[in-house]
Amino acid sequence: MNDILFYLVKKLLLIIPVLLGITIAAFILGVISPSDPAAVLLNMDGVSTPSAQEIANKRHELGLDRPFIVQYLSWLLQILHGDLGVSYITQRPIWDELMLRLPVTISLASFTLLLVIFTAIPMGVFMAYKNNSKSDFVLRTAALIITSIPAFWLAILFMWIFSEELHLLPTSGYGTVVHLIMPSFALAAGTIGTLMRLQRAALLEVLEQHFILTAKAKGLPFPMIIWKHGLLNSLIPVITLLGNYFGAIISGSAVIESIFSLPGLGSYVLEAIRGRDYPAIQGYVIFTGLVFVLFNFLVDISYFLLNPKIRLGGK
Amino acid sequence: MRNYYLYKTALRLFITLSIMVSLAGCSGNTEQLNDPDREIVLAAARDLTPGDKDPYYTSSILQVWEPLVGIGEDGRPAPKLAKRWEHSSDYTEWIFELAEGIKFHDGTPFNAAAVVKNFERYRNITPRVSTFYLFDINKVYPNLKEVEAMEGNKVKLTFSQPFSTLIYSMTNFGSAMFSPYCFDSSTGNFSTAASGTGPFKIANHVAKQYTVLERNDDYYGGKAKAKTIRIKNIPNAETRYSALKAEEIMGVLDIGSLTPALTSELIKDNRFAVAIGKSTITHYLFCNGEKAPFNDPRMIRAVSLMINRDVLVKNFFHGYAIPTGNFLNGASPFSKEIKPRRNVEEAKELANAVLKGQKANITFLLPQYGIDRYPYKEITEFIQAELKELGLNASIVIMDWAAIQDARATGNYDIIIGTQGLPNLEPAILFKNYMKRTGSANMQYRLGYNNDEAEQLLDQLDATLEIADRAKIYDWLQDISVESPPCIPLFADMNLAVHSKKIQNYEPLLYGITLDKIEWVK
Amino acid sequence: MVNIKQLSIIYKIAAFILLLMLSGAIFAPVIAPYDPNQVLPDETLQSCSGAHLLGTDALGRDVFSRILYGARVSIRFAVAAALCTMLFGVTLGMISGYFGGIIDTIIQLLVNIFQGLPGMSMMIAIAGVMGPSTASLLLAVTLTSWAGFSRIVRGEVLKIREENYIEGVRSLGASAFYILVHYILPNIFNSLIILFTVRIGTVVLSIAALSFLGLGMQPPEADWGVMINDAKIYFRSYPNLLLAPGLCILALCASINLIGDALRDLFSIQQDINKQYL
Repeated sequence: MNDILFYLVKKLLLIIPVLLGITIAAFILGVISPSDPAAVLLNMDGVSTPSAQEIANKRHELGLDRPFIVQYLSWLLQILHGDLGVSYITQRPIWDELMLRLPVTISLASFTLLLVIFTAIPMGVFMAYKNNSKSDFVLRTAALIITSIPAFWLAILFMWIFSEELHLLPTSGYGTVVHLIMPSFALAAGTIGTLMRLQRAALLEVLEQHFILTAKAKGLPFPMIIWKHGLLNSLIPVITLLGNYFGAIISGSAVIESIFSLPGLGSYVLEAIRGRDYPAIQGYVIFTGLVFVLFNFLVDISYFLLNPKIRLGGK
Repeated sequence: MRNYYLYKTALRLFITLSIMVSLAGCSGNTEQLNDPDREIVLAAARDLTPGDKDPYYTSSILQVWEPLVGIGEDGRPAPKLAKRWEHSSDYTEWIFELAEGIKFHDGTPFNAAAVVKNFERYRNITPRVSTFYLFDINKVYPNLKEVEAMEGNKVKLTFSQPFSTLIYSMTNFGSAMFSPYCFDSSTGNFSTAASGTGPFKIANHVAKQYTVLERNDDYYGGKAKAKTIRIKNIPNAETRYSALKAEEIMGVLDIGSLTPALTSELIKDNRFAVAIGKSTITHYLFCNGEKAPFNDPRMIRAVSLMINRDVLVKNFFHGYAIPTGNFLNGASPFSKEIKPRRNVEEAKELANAVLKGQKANITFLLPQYGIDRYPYKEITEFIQAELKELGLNASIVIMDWAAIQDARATGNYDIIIGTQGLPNLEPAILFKNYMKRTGSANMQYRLGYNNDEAEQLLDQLDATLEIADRAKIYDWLQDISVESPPCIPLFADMNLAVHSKKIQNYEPLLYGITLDKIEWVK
Repeated sequence: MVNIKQLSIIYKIAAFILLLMLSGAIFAPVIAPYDPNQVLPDETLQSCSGAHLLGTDALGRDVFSRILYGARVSIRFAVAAALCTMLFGVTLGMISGYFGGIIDTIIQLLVNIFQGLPGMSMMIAIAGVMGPSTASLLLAVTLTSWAGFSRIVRGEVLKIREENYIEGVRSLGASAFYILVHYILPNIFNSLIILFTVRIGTVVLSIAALSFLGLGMQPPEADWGVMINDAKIYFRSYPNLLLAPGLCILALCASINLIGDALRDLFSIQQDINKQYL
């Protein structure tokens, strides 16, 4: 038990420099940008034309005339107090903006994840069960092909076929589960392919292990062996992938969100980039980084829940 | 074949889940098909209700609030909440007589005291950024000294300097009126949903998703036809198209509602129609006049003569724009019609005279908004091919608006394609921005415009108070802008009101659509 | 049981497609019937015909020629980006694994930080903030993907470092650089080839996505992502504008992935599940 605790504490401590690194990366993003947020801010309607003095005043008001290191430290201090700053465009706290959009992205990611789990794992198990048969071979190739489909292209095709032509599914918006079907499928396609192959390989590896051979020798039916001994033991690499993937959807759904007009985190950052809304972009990077790190940590914990023997020494 | 049951169980689970999901979705759609009061759903590219920090809370096109002075059908200022007005002979005192018996949505009467409160708010929020128009009381009401309520439901504005074009400056966003109880008087932020006097009230608003409008049954004028209208926020143009096609939305509104190409694609389908109206927007090429080759005005004229505006309008705007040679947009009541001239031979001669047979490499900037709202990508690529014939090798760079501003600051470009809207129906500001040596647009775009005659006329304009006299100057300035253009006008934009034929009276206005008139076709 | 021949047929098809695309890209100037950027205002939006195999786009440009040149842009960039990522990742991974100690700790910390940064959103942010250019795209792709590379390489190096013969070479006075290049690198070469191949496929997909958002390639240079973006408005009446570039991306990535798979079989790495999704 102590070993586990020690391991978790070590992992937790490692998170601190990582998070610090993320804040630095986010800050640098703002610094390397070539444009002047003060000017952008004053010309948002595209009609007004601010004078140099007005711009200088705004820069001072935003604290942009201080040295970088001072800007960074004061900003970091602010973040530690849970304050991500105020969006240049909407004038609202970025934290509130992110919270407004988080549920959308979370539900999209969760639904996608469900979709992946309920398709890829059964198919992976099936492939392992039929190892080296024709259907295994076809599915393996199919898995590789669906990982190669550009998600945004698939999204456009979906919308064309299912909304415009067949009037089956809504094009856009957020509210019911139905709104999530097309975006989730478009997002899930790639991972379904990857996960199918991973599940198959993981299960095959477990099936070669000693205790499975023993079980076989005892005369248990093969599907029973897969179900009782194989599946659970093969889930560890699968969960790693899913954990990483969940974090990746939270951060990487921008394209799909923009196509289906889902008001999630991804559309938010695209909007922020368009408007050169640095605090919003930085807030987004920090926030998604945090979620990402958190999920990786949860994955680590789940290792123990699944199989406490795994990690006691070694990598 | 023997034991598939594990796989089958999983499959069954998945199918069950899918069915549950589809059922959950279908249960919502039980509206009655012939109820004339059923909700009309429209869509816009941006959230038209930015909310409490915005100077206006919601766009004027949702008709929730009304201004003192509106815009008439002829494009001139028209009475709205102010019934009539008069001014002292030196244009320093203006008296507005307010319409009687009007109430804000929250029941507060609209009167002189409310107007004074709104002017106090204007002062408190100055300057306030907005996605619509930046609000700065010193620009809309320069040198405003005092606002007082007078007997007989009147309000007097006193200026320390004469201001003869006040009425033009006050239109729409310049004089939005809100109930004094819906905003915090010290910060000017809205404390509740905006409560105006318009034909619609805000019934519900979810940021970035939708605004629901409800008919104001106590409206003093002609009441709105539709009982509830939901304005969805669909940022992606292709998605708005798909949503129309799938009949999820009945129409689109606001700038960039649907690109010309998508519009012409959509109305191939007989279920849809488009109504066309004037727009205050003109598309221009802005040339960097501070460096070669556009430091020579002949080069600007060569480009203007070379561009085939008719083909551009026909192929890429699908006819939904007007080729123009006039710097001043046709929506201004002071504008006159100037046809663009095309002469390839003359253009080549001019270019040759400037380049002396050499080729020049130039940078052509294309703002991202032009791709989202207009066929700018096709247009720039087309112009790129035309410029090649003049000896100009243009490389196109797509940039966000913010990045374009940076490029302007460093002067690292030769041509920018872009739009300029009329900030105001009275074109003084526009002319000054572009044609005065110190004009802000002249400096920012590095147009290098330097014309003594224009300079003189614009100085003269400040001393000219009578509108008729000013009109003459505007006329003159337009002629100058043809002789020696500050930038190259391409086309005047059109407002497209695209809608399903299931609703009617969907007409474009100069700003917005006839929201209060639309209704289901019976 | 499936026989090896059947398996290899699909790999052969993949190799054939890949070769076809590569030669199309390399010989584009010879094969392409038109200049890909030539604007023909009188021949806009034509459907497939003898003159234009895949029709023309909204500007009258020949889609087939644009596909060929698009292959050039996509593949060239993907290879360059994969190379950059690999150089960076492999160097740091080898150093970190071989030397250990404080260097290892620092590099591992960096790896942790960069793996903690969400990939796609960082790419969008970098390309968006710096403005779209080949340099910023390269930077975006490299920065977001070197960490995974270096972690895998470090693991391999750690294993090999303990082998007896390395110990022997070291005792003969070979420099660290010599050992890394002559003994360690060849040992991890197979894994690197696979990583590299699969990486190219991933880059093609992410660049296409960035181009689709308008943050990728700039005109007149057009990769397939840009072509899909351009087709968004017209594809309902002219589906070839959308299908041609989309299917090309699909075919390219699928054949690259299949070949990566074949290489795994070839190097018998298949069994090791930790490398399954290299």
